[in-house]
Amino acid sequence: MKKVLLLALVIATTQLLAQENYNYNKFKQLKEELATPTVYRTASGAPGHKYYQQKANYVIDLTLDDKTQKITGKETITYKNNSPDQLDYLWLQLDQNMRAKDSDSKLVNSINMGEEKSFAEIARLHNDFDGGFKLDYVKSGSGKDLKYTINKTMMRIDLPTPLAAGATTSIKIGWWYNINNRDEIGGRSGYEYFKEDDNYLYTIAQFYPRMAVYNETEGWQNKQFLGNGEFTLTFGDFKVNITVPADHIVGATGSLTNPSSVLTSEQRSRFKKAQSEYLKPVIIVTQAEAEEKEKTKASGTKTWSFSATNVRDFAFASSRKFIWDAMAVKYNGNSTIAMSYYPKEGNPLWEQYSTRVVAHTIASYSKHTCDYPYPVAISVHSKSIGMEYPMICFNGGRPNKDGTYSKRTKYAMIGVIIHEVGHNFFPMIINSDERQWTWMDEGLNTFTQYLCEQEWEKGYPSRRGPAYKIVDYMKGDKKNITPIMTNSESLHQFGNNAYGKPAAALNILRETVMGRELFDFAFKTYAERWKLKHPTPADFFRTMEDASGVDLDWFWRGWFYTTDHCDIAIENVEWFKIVTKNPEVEKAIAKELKDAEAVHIGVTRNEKMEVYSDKDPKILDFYNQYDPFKVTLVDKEEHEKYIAKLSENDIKILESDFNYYNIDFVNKGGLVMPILLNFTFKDGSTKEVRIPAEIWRKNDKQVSKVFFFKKEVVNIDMDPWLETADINLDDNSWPRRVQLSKFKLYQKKKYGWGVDGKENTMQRDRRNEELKNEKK
Amino acid sequence: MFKKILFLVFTVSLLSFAMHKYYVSITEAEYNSKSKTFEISIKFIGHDLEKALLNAGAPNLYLGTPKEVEKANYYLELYINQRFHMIADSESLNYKLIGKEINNDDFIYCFLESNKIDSPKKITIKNTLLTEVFNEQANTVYLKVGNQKINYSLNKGKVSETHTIVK
Repeated sequence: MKKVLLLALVIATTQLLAQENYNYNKFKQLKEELATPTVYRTASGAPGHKYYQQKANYVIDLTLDDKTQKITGKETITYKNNSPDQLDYLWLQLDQNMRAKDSDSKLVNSINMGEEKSFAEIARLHNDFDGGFKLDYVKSGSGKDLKYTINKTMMRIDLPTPLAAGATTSIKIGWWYNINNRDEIGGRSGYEYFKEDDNYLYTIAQFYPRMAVYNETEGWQNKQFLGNGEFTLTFGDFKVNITVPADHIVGATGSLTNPSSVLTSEQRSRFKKAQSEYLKPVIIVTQAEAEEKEKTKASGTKTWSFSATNVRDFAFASSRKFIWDAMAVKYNGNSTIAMSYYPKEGNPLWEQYSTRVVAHTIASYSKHTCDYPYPVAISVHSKSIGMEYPMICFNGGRPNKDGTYSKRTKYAMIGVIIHEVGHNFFPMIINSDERQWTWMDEGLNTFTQYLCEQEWEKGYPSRRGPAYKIVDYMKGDKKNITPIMTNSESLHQFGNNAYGKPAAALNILRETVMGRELFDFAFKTYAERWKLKHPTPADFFRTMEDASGVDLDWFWRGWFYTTDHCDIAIENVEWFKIVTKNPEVEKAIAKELKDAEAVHIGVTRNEKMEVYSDKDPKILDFYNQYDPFKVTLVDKEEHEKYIAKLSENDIKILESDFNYYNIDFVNKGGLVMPILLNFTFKDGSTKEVRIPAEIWRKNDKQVSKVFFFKKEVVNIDMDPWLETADINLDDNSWPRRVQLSKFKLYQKKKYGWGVDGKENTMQRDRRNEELKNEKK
Repeated sequence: MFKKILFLVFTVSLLSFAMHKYYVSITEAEYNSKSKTFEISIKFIGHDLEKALLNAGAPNLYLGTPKEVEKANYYLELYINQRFHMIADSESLNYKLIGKEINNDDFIYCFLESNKIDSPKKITIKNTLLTEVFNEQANTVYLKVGNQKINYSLNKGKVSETHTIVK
């Protein structure tokens, strides 16, 4: 470190910003980006006094044909117009039409040919699957045909008489469609075929024409379903009767209302027992029972009836292969039933973990957001997907055929169940507009998933969440990155953009910018304010500030509206000491500095050379013998006079012997972030200094700050706890310490144990046991 | 007339709505002027890599489990050599897999070292890792030679980039 002497401390004045004709300040308030507050949505981020939402109730009768893999249904939708507006027509979503032969999803899919293609891709390109809704009729409640127009995945129904504010209307629709084979053409819903026992497992969703959302921010949300931007749905009550082969087990959104006509008395008593079990799931259909059913196919059918209140959607799963278990879970004085449905292919993992993970997720999320309001929470096993619906989700995580599984499969399975069950909160309960903003449900959910995972077991290997885990993405090529505030269909790197980055951003708010207490209260406030309602991004941004008293506009601007990254560098450090004017002190320092000066090689080599003055010392005079570092009486007298003029406080400052460090910070990444420093002193002790991001408020390119300590600093580390997602740690310390590349790190620990995956901890432990036996 | 281009067709077991939506690999390639080799680390999402290996004809390798097959590294090296190419000053490089690291968060790192090459002036990286299995696969490359850092992202549509090293 450079040691500099100066006569007086100079307080550096902050550099004036370069003159611009527009305010580009990174702390500029988000007035232009956020929607103007209204009577429906307030400036505080809460629903306004005139907030409303529409209501759509459904009565659906459905038949699942296991022979032809076909769904046939009829429904009555009762739609209540709670808006202050008169509606001339209604918009409904026909999501299955995304699989229709003439679907836009295929037309806008910009895959080019390249050098290679898979058979499945070519098959998809040729698309011989006859998907999409086939409508039998669209009628009014009284049975009159209604005029309707289908625009791809949306349908407009023209009402014979406009629907007045506050009025209710009903519609009847009949339809059928072919269920897609998920293994062949993919899909959120669909079926899986098990060749070994010739059986199907159905996970069915988006199976009925659904009401689009009408509100004051979007009008009708009738943006086409192209595949990425998911769903925006109206809340309502459902009564659904599902007719399936008599030997099927059905799990669905809502409560089963006719258990006595579809379950055996044995199953009913097991189910009853599960309601008071809180630790070990009760098996309602055992593996042996399920395997027995796989062997035959019932000829008759049974109708399962479900009812669900105040949900935005309905989904179900059906198969004769299902093993079924359940247990109760308590949270904040409420309780629900956690359940799992899985084929034997999921065991042993599913029996061991699924229902327990569901229960843990419900309790953990209820703590961080709002209480789970529904009677059941279900996890269904379906190969290699993860997809969420109210109260029910379809999850992957399948062991090898021999029943073994890797640790990674286990954690991937637990992770996906937490994630999908967690979606009950975002967006099923806190019902954001998925068609518009993927991050509002996926990002918030991935963040809460991280909290939930960490509460599952100590050191849970979460894939996303902590700030440093997003660095690989943040430091990437900007051509391939879009701001979080980008519509769902236009995102690059979907997962990193809408899941990983917002989750990291919220973690940074919680751990670093706001602190856990302020953050947790604000996050919960957002959930409580918007549960069973339709929030927008502004409602989230505003609530987080409103409930915490922290101005976060700079944070939302940087993390959500730009692709800037965090790269702050310690550019220079200067060490200052006060000049005491005490000759005893100063002359010693001056000598020390002089002695430390570099000496030219000639001087050193000439040292032993004979010179003229050796022969004749008389040529040396006063100037040759004078020691400039010797303290003289005159020096002492002058010092005494100087001291006499000073006040007592001035003398204290002079004698304080503090070390002052002037540090220059440069912002290379653009993102303004807190500066987190850890100073290490000569005696080995350390001190942490945390500077809020507002240090950049007048100059976001470079700032300087003075730090002073009694002790001498030997080392400075910036962001030593990896809190800011700084993409380059090479310039984060002083003296500079270059970080090892991943490759070099590996070389270093290569000779350690277990890193190569050749010998994992289990094997090592076994070898240890063998050694023990040998030695006996 | 249009020019006729031939392309390969091969089998992939499934392309579905997967439970994660990341589909990324991160390659860091740094030129070591002392050993005159490129030191390369490639970060994969574990179960994606496993799917690609199976698809490429490798047996189930049971990576990171007690059952991991002995020739696992051999198959990994083979797969990477098929789909990751570096050309330095018109010389195509070969690599040795010197090891791998398997993490519980489902990330697998593979570490490779190239053959020797005198300080290269032009580098092409062609990276089609996993693009045969996932349409959306994005392969990010961080290249470092001396003080020069270059980063870019490749995908099914754009499989390679060439960069000149400025002294």
